[in-house]
This record gives sequence, structure tokens and C-alpha cells, in this order.
Amino acid sequence: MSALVTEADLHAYLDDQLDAARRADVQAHLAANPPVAERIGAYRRQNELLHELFDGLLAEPVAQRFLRPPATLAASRWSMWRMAAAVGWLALGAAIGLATVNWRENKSYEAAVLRPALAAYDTYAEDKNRPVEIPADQEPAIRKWLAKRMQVEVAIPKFEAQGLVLLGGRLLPGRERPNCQLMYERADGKRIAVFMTRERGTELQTMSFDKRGATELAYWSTGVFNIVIAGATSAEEMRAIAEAARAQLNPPPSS
Amino acid sequence: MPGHPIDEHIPRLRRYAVALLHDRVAADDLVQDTLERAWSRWHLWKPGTDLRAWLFAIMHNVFVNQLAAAKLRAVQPFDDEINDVPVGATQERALEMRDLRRCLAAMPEEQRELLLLIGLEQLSYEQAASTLDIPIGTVMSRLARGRERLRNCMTGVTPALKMPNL
Repeated sequence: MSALVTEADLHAYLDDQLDAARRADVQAHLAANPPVAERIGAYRRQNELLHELFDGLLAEPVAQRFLRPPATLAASRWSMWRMAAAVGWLALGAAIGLATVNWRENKSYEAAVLRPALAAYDTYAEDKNRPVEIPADQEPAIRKWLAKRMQVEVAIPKFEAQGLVLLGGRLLPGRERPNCQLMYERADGKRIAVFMTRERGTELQTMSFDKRGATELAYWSTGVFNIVIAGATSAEEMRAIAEAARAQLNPPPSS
Repeated sequence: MPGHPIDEHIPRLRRYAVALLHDRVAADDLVQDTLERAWSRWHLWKPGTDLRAWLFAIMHNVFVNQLAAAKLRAVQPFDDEINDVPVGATQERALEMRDLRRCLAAMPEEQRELLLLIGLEQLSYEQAASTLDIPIGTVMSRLARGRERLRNCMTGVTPALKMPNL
């Protein structure tokens, strides 16, 4: 009774590239042919597994080297110019407008997230005796207090594998809501701070790395917090710490 | 630094490159080469057309050139980072994922590319055809072969010589 269904139809059905009428034909065909239905089911599972395996990469850092370097920027602004001349001034105006918006956003991320994180790191990491408000032996209290003040659950990541011990945490002033800082120490006394803020949205889901003076920075958004990790360490070590932090702070992939 | 329209596509280019090469270092190099070519040809991109498909087409060309140059030889073993199964995966699913990775790595590049463009990146058949610069009929037959091969590999059956009727 069912219309002729080709192998290509089966795939288009699976990939959601069929129109409604044809979909019904394929559904009837599958209902009448369990082995075919099973095979298509296995293909569907392939797609699901691909997403489970690789979608995590979408939330990862865009490395600095992938953002266009100033040299090519200048070169292709020239090309954009030529294109704009050909297409019209409108395109140029739009391009400049877009770039400006983007630039402004980056500026304010700098002001709202990175600078407070750096200031807090500079202030407290070097404080020999009072780097934290609540010490690590009262970890449940830290968590409870931060959750109350920041109005959201705060996970406290651990970096034992990276040789860092939790010293404790503190609340920091923020513009609208308080921020917080967790401090960690290595056997040789070097300190790393994890700064969490709910300011400036959560658009920066990919992790970025930067260096200010002797301080290595890693920053990204977990979807709840903007996180900045700061420390006088090597870029390599910072990367390992940041990866460990992300694994603990980002929500697990839905499964 | 001003954002560039290309920037927002970088995570997806990277996801595809890692899935294709199973090696983060090689994948990042592929992304880098792709971006450099895209920047240098930015004036060739026609506004209003599909930027993502344009970028994937560039990546495909870079990939094929690299294969030809034998820069990327045999498939590399998966690195441990990628081998990490997402938190919360059951034992059974963990095994399934491991099988998928192994079987994906064993596929011919051209089948793997297409399978990923459609199954993972969800390009339409037309987009995939233009990205890979092949006729749509080839897309369909290659996709069918690739999926069946992957299924057989995952169920432990040796690759079937006979294909379902197309």
C-alpha cells in the first residue's frame, strides 16, 4: 500500500529534510518493515552520539590565535572598503556599527569582569596572613554564605590534581550584586584566585586566556557566572587549572 | 578587538575539525589554516550568502590539500582529553561512545566528512553538496554508505560488500 520509498528518502526522513507528505510515506514504510526501522534507528543513534561526544567543544575557549591578528585586520579592512564602495555606503556603515558595538561590549566586559578580578587578586593573593575571610576548614559555611549573598548556588572547585589547596573564600563588592573570590595555594606558596561574578551576562561561553604583567588569566562564562582565574603561574599550568575548573563549574551536558 | 562575523562560527568549525581528525592539536591547526584563508579571501565572500557553508567549504579544501600533502597521515589515536566521557554517562553509553569514536576513526575521510557535516553540523544536502563540491546524488549514496559502514562497525559486523538498494 505504501508508495515507493528509496534509501535516499530514508536518510532525508532521518535528517528532517523531507516534506510532510513524503514523511508519511516513509513512516508507513518503516512501520511495515521492522528491520529497516531498526537500521534507521541505529543511524539516528549515530547522530545522537556524535552530538553527545562533540557538542562539549562548542562551549570551549576561542583561543586568541583564532581571532584575527591586527595585520590581517588592516589588510582586510581595505578589502571591506572596496567591497563597500561597490555595494554601497550602507554596508560600510553597518559594518562599522557592528564593530563598534562589539568593541564596546568587550570594553565593558573588561571593566565589569576582568578589572575587578585582577584588583581582587592583586589585593588578596599577596596578603600573607589574611588572604581569605572564611578559611577552607569551614567550607560548608563558605558555600552557604556565598549562595545566600550571591543568590545562587556556588560550587567550590578543587585543584588537588594541579597541586593547589583551597585556602578559603571571600565576598567582594560588586555593582549590582556581590562577587566572590576563592583562593588556592601551592606547596611553594604561589596563589591562584578564582573570581566569580554575575555581572555582564553570560555571552562569553568560550574560554579565553590572557596575560597581564606576570599574572596569567583564564576567563569564561559557565552560563551562570563569569569566571576569571588569575595567578602568577605558567600559561600551561593556567590552562590545566582552567580546564579542571570548567569541568567542575560548568553544568554537565544534558544526558 | 572588534569582533568579526567569522568569529561566531569558530566553535563549530572547531567541533567539526576535532570530530574529523580526533586530535585537538591537528584540529586547531586545521581551524587556524582555514581562518587564515578565510580572512585573506574575505573580500570574495558575498554578503547575504551562507557564511557557515562558505567556511566549511574552505575547511574542506584545506583538509583535502593537507591530506594530499600527506601532512595528516593515518588517523591518529584519540587523545585522552576527547576520550573523556561526559559526566553522567552510563557504562553502556560510555562503551557506545568509545565504539563510535573508534569506528569513526576507521572510516574513509570522504565518508567521515559527509557524515559529520550532516549528522553533526546538520547541513542540508544541498549545503553539503556545495561544501564538498560534489553532486547531490553522490551526497546521498556516500551518506548511505557511510552510515551503514558505521553501523556495521559498531555492531561488530565486517563492512558489508552489498549495499541496500538506492
